Amino acid sequence: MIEFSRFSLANGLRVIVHEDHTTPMAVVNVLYDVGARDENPEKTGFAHMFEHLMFGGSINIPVYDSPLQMAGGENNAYTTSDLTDYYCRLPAENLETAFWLESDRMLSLAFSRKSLNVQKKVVSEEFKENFINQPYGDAWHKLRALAYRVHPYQWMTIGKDLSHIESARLQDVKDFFFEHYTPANAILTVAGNVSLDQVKSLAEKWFGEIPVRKKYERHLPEEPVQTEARFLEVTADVPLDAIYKCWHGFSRTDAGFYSMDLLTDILSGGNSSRLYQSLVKDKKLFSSISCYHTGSIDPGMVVIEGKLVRGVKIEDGDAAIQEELEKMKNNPPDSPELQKVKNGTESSLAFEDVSLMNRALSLANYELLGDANYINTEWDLYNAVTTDDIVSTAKKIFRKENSSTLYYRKKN
Amino acid sequence: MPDRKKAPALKQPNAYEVRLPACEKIELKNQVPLFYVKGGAEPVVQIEWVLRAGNIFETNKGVAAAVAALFKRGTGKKSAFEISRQFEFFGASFQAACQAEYVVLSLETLSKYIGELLPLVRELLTDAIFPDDEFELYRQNSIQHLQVYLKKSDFVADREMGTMLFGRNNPYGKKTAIADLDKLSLTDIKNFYEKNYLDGDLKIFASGQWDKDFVELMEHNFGDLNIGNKKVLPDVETQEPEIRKNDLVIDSNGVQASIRIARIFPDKKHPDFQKALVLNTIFGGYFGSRLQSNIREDKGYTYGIYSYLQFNLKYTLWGISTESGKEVADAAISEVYKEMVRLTKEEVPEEELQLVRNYSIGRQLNGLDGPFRIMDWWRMLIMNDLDEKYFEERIRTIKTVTPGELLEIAKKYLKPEDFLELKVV
Repeated sequence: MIEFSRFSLANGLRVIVHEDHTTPMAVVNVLYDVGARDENPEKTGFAHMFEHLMFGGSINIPVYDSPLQMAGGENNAYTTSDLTDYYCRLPAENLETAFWLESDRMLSLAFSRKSLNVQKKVVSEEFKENFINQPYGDAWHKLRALAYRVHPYQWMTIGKDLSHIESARLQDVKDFFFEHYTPANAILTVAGNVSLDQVKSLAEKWFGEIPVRKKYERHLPEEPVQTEARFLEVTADVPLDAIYKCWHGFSRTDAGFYSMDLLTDILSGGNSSRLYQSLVKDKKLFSSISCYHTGSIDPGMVVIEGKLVRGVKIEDGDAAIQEELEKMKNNPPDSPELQKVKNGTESSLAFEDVSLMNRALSLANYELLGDANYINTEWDLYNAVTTDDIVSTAKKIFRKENSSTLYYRKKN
Repeated sequence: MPDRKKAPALKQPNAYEVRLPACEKIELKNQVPLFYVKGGAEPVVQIEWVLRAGNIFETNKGVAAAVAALFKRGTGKKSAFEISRQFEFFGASFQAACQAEYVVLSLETLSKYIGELLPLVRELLTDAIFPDDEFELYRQNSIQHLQVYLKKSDFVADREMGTMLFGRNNPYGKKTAIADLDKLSLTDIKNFYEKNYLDGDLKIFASGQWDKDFVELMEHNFGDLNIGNKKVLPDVETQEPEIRKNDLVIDSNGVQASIRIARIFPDKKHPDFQKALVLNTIFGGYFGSRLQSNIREDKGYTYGIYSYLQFNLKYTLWGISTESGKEVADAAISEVYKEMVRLTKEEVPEEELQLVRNYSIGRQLNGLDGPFRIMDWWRMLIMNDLDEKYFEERIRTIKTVTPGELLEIAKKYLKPEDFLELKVV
């Protein structure tokens, strides 16, 4: 049981406090409800680049990092299709330093031209490092664009194209900030050797005066139901043929999410899983294969990706995958098989909560989904999943007309 | 309304007393040492079996790693599937990481299932049979994985720099090629297991939560293993580098260069090591470091640049690592040397050093958050025949090292002519 308290400020900022007096440290986490899905299709990659700019100085504080380091702290941030999260960790006695820094950059950035110019280059290098200069690095770009026709999940968090990042202007930065970086669009989580009263008074002192600003209303296009199988084939300088298949699945807040999560574990969680045993071990068609889902807030994707054993035809690998999925629909898992993936989930939830930082991040993420207390109740929803749920989820998701397939062939 | 121009008052992190919490030690009946740190709020446990069975002990390349992968794929009683299935049924993970000097077998599980899983680990440590079909599958798939990795410039650069520094026959410098995997022999693998696992040099580390009978359980499962043969690290020679500077092209369409600049450095018991760690933090060891501030935050040549000291037992290295745009790679390299030389010419300003002291103390405090992290420290100390005095010395050095001492370290070790340089596109 993870204990926590919640309150809100008049400007709409939500605050979560999790006390843990066994550690000398404190974690301060600010989650903004903005991600790549909120971007203009002509200016993709912006939410993520903006995350970099949040370290380029705020209205009253020329640099973010060094005052935090002087206080014994360190920090980082990440951006997904759904959200942007900033976290720092420091000795609890210096908690106020984090409030000072985080509130000033919510108040306003410095909007430095130099910072924008440098971070455009840094993000371009990040783009190259992870998505261009890697074998199969562009597979996800292609797969997303194949599966989503209208929803913004069709592009990666890093952006569709380097040129979008290179052409960002300072005015775009200002507009994005004032639209999304508002108190009502943020969740502040404070965890560690802190008290509720202390956090209340610090929150009021540092965040209380930040103007309300207009709350961003999200109106995203809904992805139409897919009605026919999609297919794409590319050839590139890679050592092995690979296959990527995906299906539209459930949203993070749908009741079906839990059986979808367990279903992917039955298929590929560990060496005793179905895909490993059948396709790697017995039939020797793949040298590696995995099945997972994107876990996104709007309906995401269930993905199977694998590298084929040299000499095996992609088409044969594809057919064997489909055969396994048919078995999944027709042969329900037996009770130990379901218990296995539930035990795995119970274990990973417990291990996640070991670190103070993870507890703070989870509380913030659950609050964004609707209720921080899911951190304590979600396990019951996993535990309630039945073998019938698994089969019906498999039947709903693994339909041919719901699928997109990418053959990634090596150049001869 | 708060004064936002002024930073809130600080407790100087330097004023913290940082102590390493105690680690208990007992010896099982067969004299295998069991170290443990009990604690934490979650009902979970991590147990590590550390054997001196790293690739330094192998005669043919790739054998130690193959044993680490294959010893859990079949025993006299259970198939690979049954073994995986049993760990996975209890939601546990059991991983083997093969390093240069030792192999770490790590079990992570909910505490309530320890009793079900320890006999299985015992079975793997006493009765692995290395089935032919699992061996063939491993060989085929590890060749394929390596083929993919050889297309990644960062992977190739790390391997090549090891070879440039230590020599191709040195355990820290050798690299496994596709041809070595082709030649892997099951006889070598079984022999290695017999010599280094069955008759191995074993230490056990446990951290987390457990019931009262934990020590008895460990005694029951591991106290009668006929094991404990002390292994001495073989003598390894380094050689004068054959090449000091190298440019490799693995992909003519590559858009980035993987840059590695490194030198051999004394091991961590050397009197200069602790001070060098502080100097390394300033040079390239944290986000505000000289390298990161200049090459990323001022010039935008890279997504990240770091310097680091490696922690081998016999030889370590002091290196710089980055991936930068191909067209700015030479400019980035020249800035690395500029920053190196600057540290040998000018004392680090007091304010910068104070920031690094505070930052580092904060990190050390955080590095003791919970039993797993505390055990990470103890395992490092114990595997290196060190004790808590070394930890205390770390804290003392962070708090008291002077700009003058750091300048001396820089002059001694940060000479550009002592570093080897590699660029891989």
